[in-house]
Amino acid sequence: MLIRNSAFLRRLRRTAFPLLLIAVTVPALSAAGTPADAERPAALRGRSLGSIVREDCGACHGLRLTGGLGPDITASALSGRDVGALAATIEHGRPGTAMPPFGPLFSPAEIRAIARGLKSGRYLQENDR
Amino acid sequence: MTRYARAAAMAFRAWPLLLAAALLGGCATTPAPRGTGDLGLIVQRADGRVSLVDASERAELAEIDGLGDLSHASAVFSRDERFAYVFGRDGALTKVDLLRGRIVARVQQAGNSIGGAISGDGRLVAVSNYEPGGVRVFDARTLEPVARIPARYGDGERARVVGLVDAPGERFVFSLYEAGEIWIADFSGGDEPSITRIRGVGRKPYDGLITPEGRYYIAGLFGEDGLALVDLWHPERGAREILAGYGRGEKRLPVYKMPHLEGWAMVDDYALLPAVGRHEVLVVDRDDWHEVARIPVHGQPVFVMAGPDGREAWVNFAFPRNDTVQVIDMDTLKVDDTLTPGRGVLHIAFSARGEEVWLSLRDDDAVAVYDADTHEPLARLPVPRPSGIFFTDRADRIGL
Ligand code: HEC
Repeated sequence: MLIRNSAFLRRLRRTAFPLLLIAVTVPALSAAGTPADAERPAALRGRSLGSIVREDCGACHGLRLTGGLGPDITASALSGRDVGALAATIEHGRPGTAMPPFGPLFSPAEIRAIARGLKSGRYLQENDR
Repeated sequence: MTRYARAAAMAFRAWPLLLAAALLGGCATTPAPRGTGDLGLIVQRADGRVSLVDASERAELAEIDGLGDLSHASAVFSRDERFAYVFGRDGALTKVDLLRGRIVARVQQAGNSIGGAISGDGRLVAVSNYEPGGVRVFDARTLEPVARIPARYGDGERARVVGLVDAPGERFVFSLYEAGEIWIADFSGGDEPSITRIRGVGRKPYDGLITPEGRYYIAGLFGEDGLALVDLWHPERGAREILAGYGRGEKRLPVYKMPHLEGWAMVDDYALLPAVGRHEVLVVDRDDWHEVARIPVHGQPVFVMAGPDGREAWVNFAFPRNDTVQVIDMDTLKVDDTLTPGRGVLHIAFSARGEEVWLSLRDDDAVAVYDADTHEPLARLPVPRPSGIFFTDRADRIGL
């Protein structure tokens, strides 16, 4: 709350948002392993990874992850793919393509969880927020 | 009598304010006839459903189910504003009867698609497909197939098609993402289109728009800092790149959501458009298409929408800054208000005369209605995971 209301941070956020995100999430990470919910950008607060994957990865990969601007990333499309390699793609993106790096938004643990979740197909069975 | 009974049964299966019964019989329970000019559809992207709403009542009249995967879904309207054509992500094209509140035709026409358009004469509906890449065209009345336009390039691969719009002269204009081409399919001669192919327009066109008078088609380029412009009065002149190298040398931020060009605000001499990978709205002079100014904003803009009076433009932002909307004063070209209507602001729609702005708040399961003048909230409708909001006044606008 304190952080969110500080005028300085608001100004900073406007100009240096990604940097700030890192600054905000990293200390929280080292404490808890994942960023404290209250310190996330509003778009992530109170939302499950599954919801973020369906809705926000879904903006490019389709709500059912069957592809759009980005390729099919359903479990069957990713079978035989290495979790570590998928996590690396999610963390760093694919430079020169539309796949952006999610390293600035999620912890490495969360990114691995997303990669595993994609391979398990569970995000498509769930419908939570 | 049986005819009346059937009409009445139909009426009650649909919704009460129904025209059919009024047309077919004059019994005492006949609901009042009504027009469709004040209606709209709101896409419930996760549930394969659309809400039918009355804009003046700010109320949902019906929910129409069974439309499939509606991520990135959009809609166009028949000229009489009675029917909507909804383009789903899963390649389905669905025709919805707004008066009866139900689906009247549906085709599974591709594996993956991204939008569509209706021809100026209202005869043809075209869908832009990712998989298999190309455009398919249907009879607007029956949804019977009329034409197929595979988007082949290079050694015969098929490109994904984006930025499909209708243009005057029964033409459809669209871009080929992988191929870097813009095609014009002219149906003025009948069901067999003549295709004009413009090559080398720039790398990765990701969306397109047509200016409101229908003269210029502009494709945004993801692969470079610039846009491709085609003068549809002179397609033989090909495409030229405008705003080439805007922001060159500056670092682009990661793009978590592609901007939409459809909502480009065009006001007087200026066009406002979202910059890719930057927290900026670009202001372009429409005479010579050069950059006039850049407006610093809260995040990466997705839609930049001006009302019909052109007084202000409302801007929403890409994930994860999508809880905020800013309003730009078109006189001063500055942000004059910042609102936080809710989480996951996906779409902005002005009412037909522009006195209200409707915002879909995906992660709050609501649609908020704002006063366009005062920027005060007026109403909030519960709608599960809403995305696109489409009012029927689009039926009369080129490119929408
Ligand atoms: C702005 C669009 C966009 C968004 C948002 C996006 N992606 Fe992607 N993604 C792409 C594109 C484009 C590619 C293909 C890159 C290439 O050509 O190599 C891709 C590729 C991938 C791949 C590699 C697939 C393969 O077969 O190698 C994975 C995994 C992936 N994305 C996961 C995600 C996840 C998880 C998210 C959300 C946290 C996400 N993407 C969000 C556009 C996007």
